[in-house]
Amino acid sequence: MNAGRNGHGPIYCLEGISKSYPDVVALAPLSLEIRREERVAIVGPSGSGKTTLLHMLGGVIQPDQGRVVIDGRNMASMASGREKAGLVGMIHQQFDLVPRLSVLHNVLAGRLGYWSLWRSLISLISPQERHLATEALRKAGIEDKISQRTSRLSGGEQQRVAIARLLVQDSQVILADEPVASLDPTRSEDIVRLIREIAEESGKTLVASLHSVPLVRAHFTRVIGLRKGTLAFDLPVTQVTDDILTELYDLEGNRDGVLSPAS
Amino acid sequence: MAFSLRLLESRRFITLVLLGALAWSAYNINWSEPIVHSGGGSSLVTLVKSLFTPELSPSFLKLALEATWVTIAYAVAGISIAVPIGLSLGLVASGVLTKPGAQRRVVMVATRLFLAVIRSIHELVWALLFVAALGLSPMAGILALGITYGGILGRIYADIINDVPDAPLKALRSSGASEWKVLLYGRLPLALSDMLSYTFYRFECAVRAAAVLGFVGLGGLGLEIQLSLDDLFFDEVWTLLYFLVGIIILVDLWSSALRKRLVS
Ligand SMILES: Nc1ncnc2c1ncn2[C@@H]1O[C@H](COP(=O)(O)OP(=O)(O)OP(=O)(O)O)[C@@H](O)[C@H]1O
Ligand SMILES: [Mg+2]
Repeated sequence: MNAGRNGHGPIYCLEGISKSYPDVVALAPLSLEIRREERVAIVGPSGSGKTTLLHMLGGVIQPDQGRVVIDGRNMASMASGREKAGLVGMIHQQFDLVPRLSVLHNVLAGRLGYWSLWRSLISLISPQERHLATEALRKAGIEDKISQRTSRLSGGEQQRVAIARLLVQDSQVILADEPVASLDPTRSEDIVRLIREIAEESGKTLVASLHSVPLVRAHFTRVIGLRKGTLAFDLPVTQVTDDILTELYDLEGNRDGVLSPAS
Repeated sequence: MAFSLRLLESRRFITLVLLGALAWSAYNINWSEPIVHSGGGSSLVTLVKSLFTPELSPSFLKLALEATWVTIAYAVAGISIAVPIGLSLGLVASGVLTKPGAQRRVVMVATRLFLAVIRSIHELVWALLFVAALGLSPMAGILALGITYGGILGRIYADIINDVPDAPLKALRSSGASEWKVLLYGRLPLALSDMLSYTFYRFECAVRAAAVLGFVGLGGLGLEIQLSLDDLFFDEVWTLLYFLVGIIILVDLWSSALRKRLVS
């Protein structure tokens, strides 16, 4: 397994990263470190910069200033897909699977970073490393759906396929942008628990944005609060009080109750 | 370049050009001459009458079937050439495999122009050119269809491949997939059903075009229709036309059955 290859030093060093768009500062300069095996929840009102931060952690967008150092290497200068695939994997609220492909191929897409183009092509006809996909789907709890067309699955099942894809990618870091925002509370709990177990089991780092306080409290070790693109707080989960959270959301004038500590 | 393309594609501009062309042609028609020439009246009547009495003798039906077969073969061979042309040029024209920059834009515009040129020449004109070069061989007709339809398919394929939803592609990239792999596991599967149904629609058009290719002497329904017309055997003409309609309906049924299976 790739996780914990170096084994020491922080997995992430953010050195004054910032991102602006023409009419808004999405993220003001931010510096922090994330240690291996931490499970970090990013919370904050809509538009506070959670997605922006996660995308920079995943190398999907580059910061305007500063740099993201992952496992001792500069994210921006990471050339090969293979190297990046071993470091970071992402899941999203909208699962982002390819509906027409079978579940099997969607899961195996997690191997594309490791495979040659030729092997990727062959795999569409004769699936490669099938055992990895079977094992991942078993862990994700939907082994029986392996040969179904992905478009036929429910939202929760699709999120499990996305998790299985992440499992076969076997990256050191798992990034999750509102992974359960489109699921009902019971499913949300199951999915977040699953992601947490995967991270814990193989010593991976987990960074996720979430809107549910109970889920944050139950499954994460550290909470980062963002407000209008600036860091509001960065605390161990045990020190995050309801007052701190209420303040984070109220100062924004955001009272639509997406995140209410009582819930 | 970008500006002039946008101007050419703007709806108001196109409307103006079309209105201008209409006015110009109305002005140029010689309205004082009758539209139907004097001898045409009686043959028009025979033509309509024979609509209900198509030639159904076994020997003629056999000839019509053979001609139908030739026409279908032309259409299938033509589309078989057009699809690889369309796919490869369409991919280049879509620019999804090249890095953004000035070079990509040049390649994209050049390929799109090339596609526009080959499809703006009608398949009949291509056929005449190829007949002049290759003689009256089936290859002339097949190439003519393949090139025109390759140009049409290439343009549409490029658009379909470009318009695929972005999120699944981003997810693939974030797990380390190169653009070629993104194409294989994302763009093509996402674009497949649109590309297939458009190809089928074009296959239907190719059947009609293949029939017409007979008029330049290349065999098939078109040639038979022309020979029967020359002899004023309208009942034979109608039989042949019924066969043509039959193929089109069959292709339509086949493609919608296939599409249903793919989409569900
Ligand atoms: N591509 C973009 N172009 C312009 N502005 C953008 C872009 N992406 C994000 N922004 C802006 O940056 C700010 C932060 O956006 P971001 O998506 O990171 O917020 P978020 O915390 O994820 O919000 P949500 O909870 O609604 O997902 C917002 O004001 C947003 O409008
Ligand atoms: Mg977001």
